[in-house]
Amino acid sequence: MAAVGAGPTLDRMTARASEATPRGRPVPVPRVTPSTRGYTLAAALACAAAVGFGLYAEEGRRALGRSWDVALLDLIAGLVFVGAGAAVFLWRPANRCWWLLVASGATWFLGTLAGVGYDDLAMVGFVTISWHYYFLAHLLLAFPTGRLPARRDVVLLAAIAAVLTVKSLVRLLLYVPPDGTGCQCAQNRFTGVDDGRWYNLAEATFPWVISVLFALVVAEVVVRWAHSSGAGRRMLTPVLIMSAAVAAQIAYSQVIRQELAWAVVRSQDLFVLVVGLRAIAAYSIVVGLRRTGQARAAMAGAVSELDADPARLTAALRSALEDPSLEVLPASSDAVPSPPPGRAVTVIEGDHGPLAALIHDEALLEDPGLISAVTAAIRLTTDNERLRRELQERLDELAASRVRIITAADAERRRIERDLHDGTQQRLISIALQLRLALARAEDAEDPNGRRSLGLDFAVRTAVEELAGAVGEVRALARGIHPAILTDAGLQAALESLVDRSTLNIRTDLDVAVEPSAGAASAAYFCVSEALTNIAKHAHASDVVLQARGRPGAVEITIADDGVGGAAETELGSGLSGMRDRLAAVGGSLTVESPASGGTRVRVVVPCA
Amino acid sequence: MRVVLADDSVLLRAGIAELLRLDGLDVVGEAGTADELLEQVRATVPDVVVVDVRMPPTHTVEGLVAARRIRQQWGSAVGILVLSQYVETRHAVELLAEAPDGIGYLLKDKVLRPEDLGEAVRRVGSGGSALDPSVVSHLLRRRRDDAGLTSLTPRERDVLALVAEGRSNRSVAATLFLSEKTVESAITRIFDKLGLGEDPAAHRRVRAVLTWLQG
Repeated sequence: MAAVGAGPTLDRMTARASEATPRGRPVPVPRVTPSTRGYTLAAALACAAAVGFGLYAEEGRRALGRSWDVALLDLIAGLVFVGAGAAVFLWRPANRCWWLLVASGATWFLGTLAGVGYDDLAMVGFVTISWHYYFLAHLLLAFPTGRLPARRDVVLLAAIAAVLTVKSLVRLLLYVPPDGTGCQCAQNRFTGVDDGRWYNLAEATFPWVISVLFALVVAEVVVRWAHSSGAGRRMLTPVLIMSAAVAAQIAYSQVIRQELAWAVVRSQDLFVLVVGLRAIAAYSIVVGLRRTGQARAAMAGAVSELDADPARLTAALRSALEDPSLEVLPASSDAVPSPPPGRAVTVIEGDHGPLAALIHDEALLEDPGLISAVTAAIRLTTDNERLRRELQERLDELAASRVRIITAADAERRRIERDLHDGTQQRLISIALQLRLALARAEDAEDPNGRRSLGLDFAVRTAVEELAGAVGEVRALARGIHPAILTDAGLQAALESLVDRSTLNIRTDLDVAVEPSAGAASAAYFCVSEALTNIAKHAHASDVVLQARGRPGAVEITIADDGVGGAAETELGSGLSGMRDRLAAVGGSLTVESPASGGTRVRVVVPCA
Repeated sequence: MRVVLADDSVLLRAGIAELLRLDGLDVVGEAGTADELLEQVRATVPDVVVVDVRMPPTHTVEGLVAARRIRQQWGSAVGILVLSQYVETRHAVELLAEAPDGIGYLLKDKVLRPEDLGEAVRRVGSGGSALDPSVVSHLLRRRRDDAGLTSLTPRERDVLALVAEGRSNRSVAATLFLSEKTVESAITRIFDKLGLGEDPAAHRRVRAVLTWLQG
């Protein structure tokens, strides 16, 4: 044991480190910008690994005659952790495990220094040789979030760090190289004692202590695994098995094999086993973290299925998070319930206070990214729902305002019609009448002289004729604005009246059983009027059928002609599309069938109570 | 001939009343509402009432409703001449459906032709009919495809229309510048062609024509 002599043991199983004094160096982990980090990092790692291994293997062969396979195993044992750290860094840059993996791998190589032939450098390796245990423990406890979930974990890690510090200090200050033997680092410039009693005691105690502490680490992981369910448990399982295996290996190599000298495995084989376990542990950790990535991917997929229906939201989240007992509580519940053991409550905060509360498996907290993905999804969903609700409210408001506008316009039309009939028309007739009477009086007054004022007579008669014309125009205008018959006698009478006035030859079959509301009746009336006007203008029809049927809750009116057909709605005039709007406002509908082969059928449906 | 006049426009009512008086008719009462009209009729029992269709409070068909009540109460003893701001065939048909005797339905514009208005009032007051030409033309148009109607000569159609208005032979003859004899024979031919069994000279021929027109 060139490096440390007979007494001290190498903490890790660089089995032939005493025979081989490789000159290892930690593989650098370059930090690069996230945009280019993927390939740059991979290339740099590959180059550094190749160069490092080349130097390392060559030095080992030249100085110690060590075979290349041992150097390779030692290298692999460190590099698998560095590589795993790089992989995590690439895939999950937000996850803090990457630096623990890298640190664990890098510190592995510290021990390699102990085997080099240069005093101070070898001393550095000799002193720090066990520190990779710290990072391994930290990694196992902090997996998968990279954070220590419980205070006792911090205490445990602090204990490990303390033990390692003590060991390092003991090695630094109390190690007295056996005279004339041991490593080339015989000169311990830091030591202040003459004999190695304290050193030997500490070195004998350390394996027991570190084994116990690692057993506690495993116990902690087991407890956490037991409290997890679903995704959390699946994620932890490989790590649990690996940490148990690593702890067992530590116990075996540190205590059983070295202290109790009860070896069933040759040290060369044990080293292969250690490297293999480390490789599998690193792989398990990466795979475990990939699992949470998959959960997030599932989450992202679930977002598209999310909707505001609480049942479906809950189902989607349960399936995405693989937590069948997950519950979504509405934001209105003031008091956040205290969760049962093993469960956690996450309150989803929106811009205006809490949106919802999730009761879920505590394990999900181990990936804060997952919970933030869920939070984002729920925010998205509730935002979506809020927008949808607002949109619907606006649509309802618009529909209501359209009804109000149409109703007001209808009322206004009726008022104008009445004013025209009972105001303007009456006055015009009245004026004409007064003119006539004035003429009659004038004639009476002038009669005694036997003369008739022909000029006056003509003027008055002309004025009366003009006024009569004006009365006729006002009547037509009033009818165009609102047919009085609709108010007087209802839709059926108004339709009959339309038919009476039409120049078309119309066959009718009218049975409006229940009178629609004033607005609906008026919309239907003007629709039919417009349709008949269009037929008269464009259809060249010889036969027109107007049918009206009262059905439960609706009146259905059909205007069919045998004309040229092929009337696109645009050609039917803006009048009819205006009618469509009016009908829609009263809850009615308008359909036009006008095949190019001929004939047009306009169907008007208006609701009635 | 005693007349009661109902119209909610005071000025127009006064004008019509004066016009009727100038024409030698005796306007014994004036009313501004349907209720007032019924009171006046009760008080005076005139030969004829002249009533506007649109009257307070709703300005829809109050005049028609009042006319119907007068008809129910006094029968054809009180003739009814309805004036309307606009012509609806339906209103006319409803009004004349039972019996056209002593019933008239004219566009209000007719007051501008005092001689026509006076004649119509007299006709209705003496148990005859007076139907606005526009109503008649609508009714004729409804039956334009009827074989009987298409077999009429244009002249016969004109005669038929005037008969439907409720005019006497003399009035028809005067309007169309024909002799009364010519009108009489035309009416006989028309009744044959339309297959109307009634005696064309009889007082009830208007009813027969209107019944036929309504199909």
